[in-house]
Amino acid sequence: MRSGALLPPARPLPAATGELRAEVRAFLAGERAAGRFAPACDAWLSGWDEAFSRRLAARGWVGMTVPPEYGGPGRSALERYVVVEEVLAAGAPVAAHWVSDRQIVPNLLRYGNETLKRRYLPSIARGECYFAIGLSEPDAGSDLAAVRTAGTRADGGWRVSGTKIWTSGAHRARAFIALLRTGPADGRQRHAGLSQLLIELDQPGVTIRPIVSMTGEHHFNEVVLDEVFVPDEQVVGTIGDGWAQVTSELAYERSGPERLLSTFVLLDMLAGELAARASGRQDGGGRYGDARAAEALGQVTSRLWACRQMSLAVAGALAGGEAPEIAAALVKDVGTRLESEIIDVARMLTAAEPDPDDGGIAGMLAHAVLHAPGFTLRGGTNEILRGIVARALGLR
Amino acid sequence: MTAERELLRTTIADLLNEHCPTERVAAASGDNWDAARWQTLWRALEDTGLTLVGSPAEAGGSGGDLAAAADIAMAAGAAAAPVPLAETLAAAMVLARAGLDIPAGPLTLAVAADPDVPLRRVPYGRWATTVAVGADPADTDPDTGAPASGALISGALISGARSGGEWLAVASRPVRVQAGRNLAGEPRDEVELGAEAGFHVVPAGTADYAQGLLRLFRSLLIAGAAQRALDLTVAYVNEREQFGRALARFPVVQQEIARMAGEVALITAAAQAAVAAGPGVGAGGAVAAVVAAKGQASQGAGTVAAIAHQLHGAIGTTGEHRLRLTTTRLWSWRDEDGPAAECFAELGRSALHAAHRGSGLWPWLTG
Ligand SMILES: Cc1cc2nc3c(=O)[nH]c(=O)nc-3n(C[C@H](O)[C@H](O)[C@H](O)COP(=O)(O)OP(=O)(O)OC[C@H]3O[C@@H](n4cnc5c(N)ncnc54)[C@H](O)[C@@H]3O)c2cc1C
Repeated sequence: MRSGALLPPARPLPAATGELRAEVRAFLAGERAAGRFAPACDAWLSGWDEAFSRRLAARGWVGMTVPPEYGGPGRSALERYVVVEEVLAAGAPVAAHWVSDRQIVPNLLRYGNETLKRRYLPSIARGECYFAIGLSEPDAGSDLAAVRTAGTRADGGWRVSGTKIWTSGAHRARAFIALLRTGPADGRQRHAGLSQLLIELDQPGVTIRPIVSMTGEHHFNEVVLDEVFVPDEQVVGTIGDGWAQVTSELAYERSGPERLLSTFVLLDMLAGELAARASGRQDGGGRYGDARAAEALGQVTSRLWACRQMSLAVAGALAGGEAPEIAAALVKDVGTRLESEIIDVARMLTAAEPDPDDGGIAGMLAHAVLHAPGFTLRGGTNEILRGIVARALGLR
Repeated sequence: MTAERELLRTTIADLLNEHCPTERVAAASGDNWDAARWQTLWRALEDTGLTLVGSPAEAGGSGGDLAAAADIAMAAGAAAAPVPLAETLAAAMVLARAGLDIPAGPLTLAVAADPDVPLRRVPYGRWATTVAVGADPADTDPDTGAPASGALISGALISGARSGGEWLAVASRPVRVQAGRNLAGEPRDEVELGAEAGFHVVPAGTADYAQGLLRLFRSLLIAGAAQRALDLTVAYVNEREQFGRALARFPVVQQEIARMAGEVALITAAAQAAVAAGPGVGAGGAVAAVVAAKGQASQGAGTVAAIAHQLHGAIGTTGEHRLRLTTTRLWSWRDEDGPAAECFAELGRSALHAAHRGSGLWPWLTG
């Protein structure tokens, strides 16, 4: 390994994104002021609000990289990055269009056939078409290549059977992108014979069962496919290339702002509380004096600032056509752990105890604490990512 | 990456590696750092113009931007080069900004409150020309404005400083130098400037600029050293065998290497971003990049050093192993030019101001 190859060089965001950022910020402030949303932690996972998705799309901020010929505004990946940062930092409810926007758009633009692009991209860009992800199965978690859902050849398509699990939002999504076996594993080549299919969920043979989270939310589902017919045109990319396609998709998924900002609104609220306490307008009764509080706040914000710089460096490299695999995995490992560290700092500095029924910081804390275990699991666990990093660094 | 940057990086790395093999650097630590042994390296650096990159040619520098100077500092950190390279780059930039000539030879930079009080723990103070900067025009009589007894600064200088300026002293031969060292055996000396030093009135903001540069260059040195600690550790776990296979094969070892890589990447990303932002601390409306970068570097340095030592086992703790040249620097540098606690407190206060103004943390963080 060459020294200094860990990170792509720093590339500041194009100056023109400043104006876009200001527009998005103003829009979000207006939405909040009008009471159309309340900031929440992890709202990209659990804040499902279709009306909000449509309003955001009306401004051209959903499916931003979809070219005009498919009904999108055709903007750059870095412009999308800025919009995503802003909505996450505001804790806005973007879960409905999240998968469509982050995963399906780049995937279809890269691998999709003309029919698929025409079928889905325009409605995605209108903020009306929601997708889920069908990777995990009961016996295939970290070991994704162990998926058993399988398609058998049928006239003009595939007949698909199997069970997917942990499928976020499947009960409200139009379709999901499933990884399944369409051919045998080739001896020791376990990654051969896998393919990606877009499967419409409202059709015969699809059963969706809720799995209730410890928060009480219905977010996860089990999706059982029983001889579901999937026409050939719903195949994404090439039959048998599913593994390579999924891995390139995961790289996008790893280094985005959502890997550091899931608890940002809690930090922001905490800073507000500390500032109010310091100025004596209100006595929150925190456990530490002001100097200690400032130091702890400074520590976590400096780490957050640094994580963001890392994520920006990766985004710049991705936009430049590079694939900074190590750095992307590192953003997720460091960033998702930081998301939990923010919760600990908030617990240390506020007098509030987590209270699911509270409308202020205690309620936000409750939501964050219960969501935290997922931060380092979803999208490939941190242990698996660190294994990838170690191998990429040349550990044999 | 431009070809020019790439060339600079290889040039400096090759030069430093050639002159800084483990045994030579190891011999320079302890209490026996000897200027005579490093003259050749220093001359080679000067001859190629590498000691004054980042300062404009008009001022006597080699030209090039801050990013180029940053590459050199990172390389110096990686090589554990026992010469004041980063210090010289920084001091020259301060002189150039103040419109002063850059003297020949190695330089070192210090920010001080009072020119009468000996400067503490100045890097290479015994060898380099000390450039000291301060915002406070020494002790003055509150009624008359005259220098208090023993003050070095002339009355004229005081009135200059009074009218919004700051002082800067250049001392090539300080009256007194008391040798000291840090954990890596790098000279950290007490320097008494003395009346012979050349005092100048410099524009307001010079001291802040110098302070920012000190933190920035220290962060870059740490980034270089952290990367080297990672490289050494990766090589070691691939080579060392236990239980019949390389340590690298054990998943626990892999996890630790990746954790270390995360810290190194974070330190590097922060330092690079601070280079892009420049050493200024801004108007307080946004994160001061240098402060955040130094805080991050100071905090991460300990984690990196700890994992490196754990994975090296006992051999890494010996005097003759290369690792300690890097880790002793990490342990010293993290507390020099702004320890973590100081940076975090400064940043935290700035964050609280942002929160207090009602704009929230986000505009401050992204500003
Ligand atoms: C909030 C959330 C949303 C999700 N949404 C979706 C979704 O929409 N669609 C979808 O398909 N999936 C989704 N998932 C599932 C997610 O992808 C899996 O949880 C993840 O891949 C891990 O699989 P698992 O839960 O079966 O854990 P396991 O693979 O059983 O792992 C359990 C533990 O063992 C560790 N481990 C396993 N193998 C190794 C190894 N080789 N070395 C070291 N440690 C190892 C893991 O790191 C983990 O700590 C979601 C998960 C969460 C938490």
